Amino acid sequence: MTALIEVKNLCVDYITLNGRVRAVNNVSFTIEEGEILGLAGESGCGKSTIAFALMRLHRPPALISGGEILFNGENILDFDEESLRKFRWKDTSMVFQSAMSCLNPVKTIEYQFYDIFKAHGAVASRQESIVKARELLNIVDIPEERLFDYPHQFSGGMRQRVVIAMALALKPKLLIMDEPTTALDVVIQREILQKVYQLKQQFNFAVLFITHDLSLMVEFCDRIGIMYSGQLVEVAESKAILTQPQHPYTFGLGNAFPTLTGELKAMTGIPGMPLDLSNIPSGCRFAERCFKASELCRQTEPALHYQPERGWAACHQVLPVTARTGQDIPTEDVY
Amino acid sequence: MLTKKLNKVSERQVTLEAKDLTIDFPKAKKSLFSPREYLRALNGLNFKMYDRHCLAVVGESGCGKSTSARIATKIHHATSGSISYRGRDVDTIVSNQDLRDYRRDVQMIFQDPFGSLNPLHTIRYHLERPLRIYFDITSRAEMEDRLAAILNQVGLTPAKDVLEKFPHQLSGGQRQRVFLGKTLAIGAHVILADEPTSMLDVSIRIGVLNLMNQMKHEMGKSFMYITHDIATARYIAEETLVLYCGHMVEFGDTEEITQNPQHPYTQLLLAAAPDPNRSIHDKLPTYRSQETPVWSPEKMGCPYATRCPQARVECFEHLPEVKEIAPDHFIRCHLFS
Repeated sequence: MTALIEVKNLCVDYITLNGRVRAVNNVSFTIEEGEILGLAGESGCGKSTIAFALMRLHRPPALISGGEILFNGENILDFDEESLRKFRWKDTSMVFQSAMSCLNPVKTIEYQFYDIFKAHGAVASRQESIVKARELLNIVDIPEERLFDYPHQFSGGMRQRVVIAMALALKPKLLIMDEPTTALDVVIQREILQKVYQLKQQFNFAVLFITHDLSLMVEFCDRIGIMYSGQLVEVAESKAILTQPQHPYTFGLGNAFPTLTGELKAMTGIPGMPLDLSNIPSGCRFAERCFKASELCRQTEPALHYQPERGWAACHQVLPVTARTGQDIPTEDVY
Repeated sequence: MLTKKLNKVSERQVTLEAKDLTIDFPKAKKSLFSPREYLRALNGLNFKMYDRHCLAVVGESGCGKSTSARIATKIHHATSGSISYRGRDVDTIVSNQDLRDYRRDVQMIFQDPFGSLNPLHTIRYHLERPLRIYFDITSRAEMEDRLAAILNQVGLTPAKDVLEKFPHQLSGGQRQRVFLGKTLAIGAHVILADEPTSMLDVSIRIGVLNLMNQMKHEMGKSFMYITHDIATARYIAEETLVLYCGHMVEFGDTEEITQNPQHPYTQLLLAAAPDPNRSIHDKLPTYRSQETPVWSPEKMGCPYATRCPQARVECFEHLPEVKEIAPDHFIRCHLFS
């Protein structure tokens, strides 16, 4: 497999009255063709900011201040407006949290499909657009005759499926999903994600999946990146994130989700609050909330290191493989 | 291991009890002369809340979870049926003094901790007011002691600093803790928590749930925990009530419901809930059509019949009776009658 998108040392700043706030700091990762990468973390940790940066959707006061985003070897940050316009939706498309606010309430679904095709010169006539839109509704299991309906006539789950159909209209290589199912009920959520997975197998696009629900992410993704206050602190295979966390933050996150099956354990969460990005201490950003923090952690910032068989982690005190099974760290006493 | 079972079944005392609770909301008329139509938000709902226990109310959005709590706090009035608090029908509570006593005992916590505290006032103001209204505290020193004790109980320290802060200076989890502190200040026994953690960050969520657990065990509060996250319901609740479209579907011991669900809807809900021990490829139990019906007083039958794979003729004709299939495990389904 080859890297479809390669992000190198990406930095995104927000310019505020009190100076620059770095929302994404030196983040590097790759997404391979046909892979599902998840980004998890608390609100304000920069996961959505990365998603917006990948499509260059940021407007002032946000500013991409450094790094490279290579899509099939081309740096997106060097694109001019015209090539950006072609790149967006054709190569990378995005599904947002609120489907209703993505759809134009005064136009029919049919028109909105036509709008996409027309903007990219994908169809010659309205008739051709209708045929294509019908096919797309079919693949997301919406009856064809609903094509001429308005967004308000659909239920929440159907709207999100319409948005997914639109995102797939031009057969993109990468689909970014920013909390696509947070507003939906669990049954519909699972239905939609199963559908996306099935379509992924069919059309072989890659997915960047963003959510704060780690349980869901472990089920859906191949690899997961954990973010904390603008930095990537761990990237590993999805199962390993819960079973063999390396970073104490990942360990804490895994401890914050009660399970539906198995023994009921007392959980602890993570003490303290997320970092204020306008006032960043020296050393590791998580040190203040970390149970393993040492003097070294408070002074020097750890870099991402690759652990064979385990993945990447940015931590001076990488947890042993057995951390989760509880021999080395008794979960009840840690936090 | 969590110590959930504090009271033996025989020692349980009922606090809030709903009997055949039904509520209709009028819909907007299509024209001035068309007859008024109603939406049935709750239909024949029965549940019991026990002292020192937590009752989780789970279901999808629009199933009547919040409405049932709102009836208990007298924000809405039931069309028929009743809710009683320690044996007294809440509809009979009308005099000012009674209302005040009732509201002191039964308090509600809302989902949005950002909208429920007044941004113009400090935390001191928010906590001092209930103390002034409900208790006769005259000395400054006593008030300070009380406030400090409350903030310590909900884990907001140092109390002195927190008291002078404004809501915007606190995080979501801290604000929810202020709210829990407020119910402690008033001395509420029953706390109706309407999705108290759904707007909080994952790392903070468990802390608030643990605080609720602690209030339950150490201070003898009882909770109604309204949520759509059945995994957290399993974590803190002794009893679970599953609602679908305003109807009780299944009610009973949480472990029993989550590990051994009987109603087809509960089975679907549990199969769909995210769980790291599962895979996205696991098939959901079969069900039909995806739309949740909107209930009205004229409708007949079981609300789940349109989606239920095992629906029979009778399911469309009349609503099944509530049946106790095991001790303390109630279900509303024709498959069991």
